[in-house]
Amino acid sequence: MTEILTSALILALVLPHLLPLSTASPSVAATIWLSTLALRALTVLFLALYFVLFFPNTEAFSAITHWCWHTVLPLVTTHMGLDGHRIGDAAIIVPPFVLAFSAVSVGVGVFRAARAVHGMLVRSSLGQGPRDSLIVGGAGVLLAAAGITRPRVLVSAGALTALDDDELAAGLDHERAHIVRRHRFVLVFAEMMRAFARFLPGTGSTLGELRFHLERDADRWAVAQSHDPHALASAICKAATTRGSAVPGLALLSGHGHATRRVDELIEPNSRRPGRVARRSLALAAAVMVCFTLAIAVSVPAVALAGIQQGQLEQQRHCQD
Amino acid sequence: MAQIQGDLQAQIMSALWRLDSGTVEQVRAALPSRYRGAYTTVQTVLNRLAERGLLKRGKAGNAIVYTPGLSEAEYVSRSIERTLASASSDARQAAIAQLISDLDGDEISELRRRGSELERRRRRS
Repeated sequence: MTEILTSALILALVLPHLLPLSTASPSVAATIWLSTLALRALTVLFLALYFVLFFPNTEAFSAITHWCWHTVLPLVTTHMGLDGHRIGDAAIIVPPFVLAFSAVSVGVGVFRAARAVHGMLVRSSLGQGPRDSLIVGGAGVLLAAAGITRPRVLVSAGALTALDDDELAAGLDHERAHIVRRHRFVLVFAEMMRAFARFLPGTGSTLGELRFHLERDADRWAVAQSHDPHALASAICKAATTRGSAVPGLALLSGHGHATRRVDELIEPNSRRPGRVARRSLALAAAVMVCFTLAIAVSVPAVALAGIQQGQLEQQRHCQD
Repeated sequence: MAQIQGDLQAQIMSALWRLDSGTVEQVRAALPSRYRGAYTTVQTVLNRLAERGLLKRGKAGNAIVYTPGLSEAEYVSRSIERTLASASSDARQAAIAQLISDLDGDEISELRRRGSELERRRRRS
């Protein structure tokens, strides 16, 4: 049973990389990537549970702790009176401490970022812009949906002068889409998952793909508000062009090539649309991924309980011996 | 047309910062010769900038006077970019979604190329 579940988990983690998700509907693709991120977090959580609850009851654990201190460092254990097994017991609680620290640091990071953005909205707003947006300083084209509890659309003064009417309307609707579609909650949840999943390779790119599909979702919503897709593509290009002189701290690796992929999709939308069967298959894959993730998440308390009971049994057996 | 409109909007803002405030004719006269279009064109752009919140409209006698809604220093300020750059990248992206997120030099060049193509296409249509 464990082998089947492990194989299913590995398959679910690999599957999104094999599916043609860049042609799928943005919400389907985002659901699959978010499920993958949650599965990555759950994998790390299960590994931590295994180290705390199951591993100490194995022969391997006894052998390793014995080998570590009695064989490798005999002088230390003999002369300093250290018990290899107790040190092993202390070592197994390191993974949960690391996970807890990671979760707290990411939570604090999100809280601080939310406060900084709120402060920025209060301090830096230069007035009311079009469509209930807030004008902020800056000669570059900056359009953003800022804030978690009370989000607002920000528009830089540079964007108000550089963009024509269609580009500005499309850009503002793109940002409004982030608010209306509640992408911020998805991103906060994703950040919390990253706190656990960051220890697995490939988590950064998974989060990058999720962000990319949320941007695609906002693009589609904006275009659906009877905008010309070329106007939105042009606004993205203008934003990128003015970004050329931006502060270096903003030039990071995450999301490499995503803006270009979005522009391509806006220019040639039909070249990337999958057939009906492919669309349904991808939607089914998303539903399966969500169900599997929920099933795994629900099993966490049961696994923990089983581990605790196994530990108690081992202790009783040890006392009887 | 879009590029011309963007340039004209920027030129009108520059002219108004120099003048402090002005009527359509005063702004038109303060524009560089290559941007000095028809009276109605300048008036349309001034009204658009006022609707966008960059200018304030007032009356002086019968004439409508336009005043910048923000200073040139505020316009060129990079405090927002610095605030965004100073926050941790991942946490920042949960709290603020930008039209485009982080880009590297190659992608900026690629988007610049596509932007020029789009400009031509939109001008043709």
